[in-house]
Amino acid sequence: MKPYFLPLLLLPILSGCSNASGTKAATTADSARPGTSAQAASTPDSLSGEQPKPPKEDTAALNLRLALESTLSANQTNISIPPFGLDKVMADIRRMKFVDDPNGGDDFSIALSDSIYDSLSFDEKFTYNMIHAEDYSQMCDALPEHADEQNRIYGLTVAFFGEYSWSKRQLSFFNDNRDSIEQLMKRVIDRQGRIGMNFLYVIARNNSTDMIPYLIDFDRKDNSNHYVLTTLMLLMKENDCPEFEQSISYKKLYGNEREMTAYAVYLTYNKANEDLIIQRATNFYYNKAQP
Amino acid sequence: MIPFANNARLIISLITCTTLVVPPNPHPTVSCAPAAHPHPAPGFITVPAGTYAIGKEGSSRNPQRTVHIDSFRIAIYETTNRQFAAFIATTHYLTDAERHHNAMVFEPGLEEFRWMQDSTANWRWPNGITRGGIQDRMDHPVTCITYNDALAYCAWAKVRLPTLEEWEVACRAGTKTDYFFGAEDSRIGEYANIWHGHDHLKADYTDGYMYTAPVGSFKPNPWGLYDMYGNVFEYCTGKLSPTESPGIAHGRGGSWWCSRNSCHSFNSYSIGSINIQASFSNLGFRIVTLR
Repeated sequence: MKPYFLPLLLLPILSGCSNASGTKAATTADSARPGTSAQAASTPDSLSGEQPKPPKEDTAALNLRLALESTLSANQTNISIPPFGLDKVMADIRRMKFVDDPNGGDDFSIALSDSIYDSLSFDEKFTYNMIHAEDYSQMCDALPEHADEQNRIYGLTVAFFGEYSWSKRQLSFFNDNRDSIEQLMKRVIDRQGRIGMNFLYVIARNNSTDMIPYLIDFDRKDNSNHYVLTTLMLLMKENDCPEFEQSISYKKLYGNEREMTAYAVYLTYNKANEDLIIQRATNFYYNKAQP
Repeated sequence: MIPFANNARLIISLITCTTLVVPPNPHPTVSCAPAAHPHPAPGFITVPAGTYAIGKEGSSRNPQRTVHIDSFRIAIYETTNRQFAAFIATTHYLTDAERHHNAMVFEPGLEEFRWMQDSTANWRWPNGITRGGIQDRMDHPVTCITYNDALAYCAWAKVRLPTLEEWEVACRAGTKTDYFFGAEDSRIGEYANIWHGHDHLKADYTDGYMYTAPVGSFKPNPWGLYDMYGNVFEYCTGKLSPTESPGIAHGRGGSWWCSRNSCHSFNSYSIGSINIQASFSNLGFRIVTLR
């Protein structure tokens, strides 16, 4: 069984190791245009100074989100719920009867048929895949459990789909449409002012290093979700960032080969540790961007 | 921690057999079969009523505590393909995987915690038709069955699944450590068919078996129960909380898939979770007799 933190526990082997040298970074993260070459940037605007607060979620969207969350399990309430075609997608999901059908009729399914899935627009597919996992998974009993998350920066993130996991076609959707997925995630995050575990997982799994400035910017605005810092570290880890790999933090968080042990390890959350992670991620991002 | 009340008075016996035999041949013998059952019955041990210490410090899923349980008789072996085949032959029961074609299977090369759906997989072809059937594995534990399938078998055989607490009491066999052979897992290979590879990218035959092993192939626990760790997760009845979803079932003991680097569930305290409609090739059960 997978640990109940699973889908985020283990990232795939990711290619594209950076040539980061660990030298001090160039100075800018253009968070509004994360794909912009760092070479063209010259000022640290998005990494310092006062930042505007994220817009409040509008009432209709909030009500919809709360209604949706009431139908999800406790493990799923820490996800971001995209608004794109949400009513239609939710209706399709309900028709599948996937939620706790103890008798499982002959038409029992936890996945949309190919024809219905293919009929969804791209944005609707994004919503469907982000809120519904269409494969079963096994949840193991990870110990010790994550606790006191406001005061800790864990090395690994937590599960969000309970006894379900994304299917092959869903993972392919995220992987094959990386740039578009990133843009949609940003729209949702900007609108809702929060970032769910499902988004963080996709960012890490897709090796979306382009999102680093955006994540840093988000943390500067709202640093209540320390799994944003976790995701930054996972991106550095998966890309063999030398500055990070040679750090004490890395050895503490990822030095033990046993993933179950790694799940329990954390850094104490404080300003110094937060700043250090962000500085290393910044250095990694700009060194990576250099030719 | 409260010591086991009945350690010194534990009596192990086999029902329907007159002598306790730790069988050199792990296969249940027909001579032990109750006349009313058309399939070979395994031996059982009797666990006396008493107050037992169970759980794990720091676990919210299985907190450290004492429980009082009535006496029960639990099978020495996991339920085998041969036994399940007798059930099918008599009842013509169709398992959920045969109805829904949604069993989850494994093959080497999958990233950690990933399983894949195989429409050809069911209890007769536990990892799909291309990976072989059970014709030469009749003494292996039955797998690719849902919780409801296990209950259907039990109803037919006039037996039941163990409760979560009964399973743990039987597994611990009077011990208080994480493993019935000690505090560390260094000797797990003597007692359990598990995955010894660092990851699941390559096949692992370290202990002779990549998938399931014939029941009883490894050393038993101190009370003579085989495969309490590894081989297959074993379904149990019971909930982790009164409000837990009815769509969730629980399995214990780890499986052939579990490794030290991944879920590490081959111990006395872990409780895995699974959707009651899910069929996996590492999920099976053992039975408890009715009073």
